Amino acid sequence: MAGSITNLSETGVMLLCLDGFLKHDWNGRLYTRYSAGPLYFCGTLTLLKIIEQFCDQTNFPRAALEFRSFFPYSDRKKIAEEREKTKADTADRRSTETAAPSEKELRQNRGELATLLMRIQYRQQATLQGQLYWVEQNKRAEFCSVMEFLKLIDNMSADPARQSGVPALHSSPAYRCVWC
Amino acid sequence: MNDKELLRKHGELGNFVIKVQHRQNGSWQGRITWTEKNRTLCFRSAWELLKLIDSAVNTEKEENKWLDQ
Repeated sequence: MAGSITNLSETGVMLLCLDGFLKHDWNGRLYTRYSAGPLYFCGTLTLLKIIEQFCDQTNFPRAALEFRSFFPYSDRKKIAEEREKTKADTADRRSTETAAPSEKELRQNRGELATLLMRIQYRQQATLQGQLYWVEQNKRAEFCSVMEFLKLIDNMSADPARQSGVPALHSSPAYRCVWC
Repeated sequence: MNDKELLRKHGELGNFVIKVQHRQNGSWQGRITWTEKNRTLCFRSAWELLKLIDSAVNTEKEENKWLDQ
């Protein structure tokens, strides 16, 4: 996984702003080149769901494996149709890319506790592989699975200065998780 | 604690028996059983395991989603 994250306009690169550490989990915002505004998340699981949804929508990187489910999806045709619809939506989004923020605008965003640049490179072995760059500390790390990503993010919370309570941003009505 | 005592413990949202069989590719691989529905699946990563548990506890939401289609 050679190469460093330098260009935010590159496909698969996201800006992760960590704003709070509540109940042993991160809260924050995710910025991408394809979303006009921030995508708020409350918890790392929500963050991962947003990342995966983004990868599915942009179709990059493509998932090497289909996820298993407890629920049998008998009507495969309808699922295929849904996928085609998602692809069409992505095409529409790409056509309106001019409305999306520029790289310069994106780079101005900063997390209250930490700012990270993240690149998802592959989706192999039913997990994610990519790189992380901690802007404030100028630290780089690679992860070869979601578990490694979770460990990296969790290690960042070890610093007691990062557990300094709830930032004012959380009480703002605009701060709504996109998943909840 | 023996097996019987362990199986008597119950969660409010769902109960799962997880067997981690391998630790390859920086992740976990194994088997998960959803005890309420008696369904067993093999998972290939910790992310797949998380998604399986998450989808199971949100059963209603998931079923409605596919019924609507």
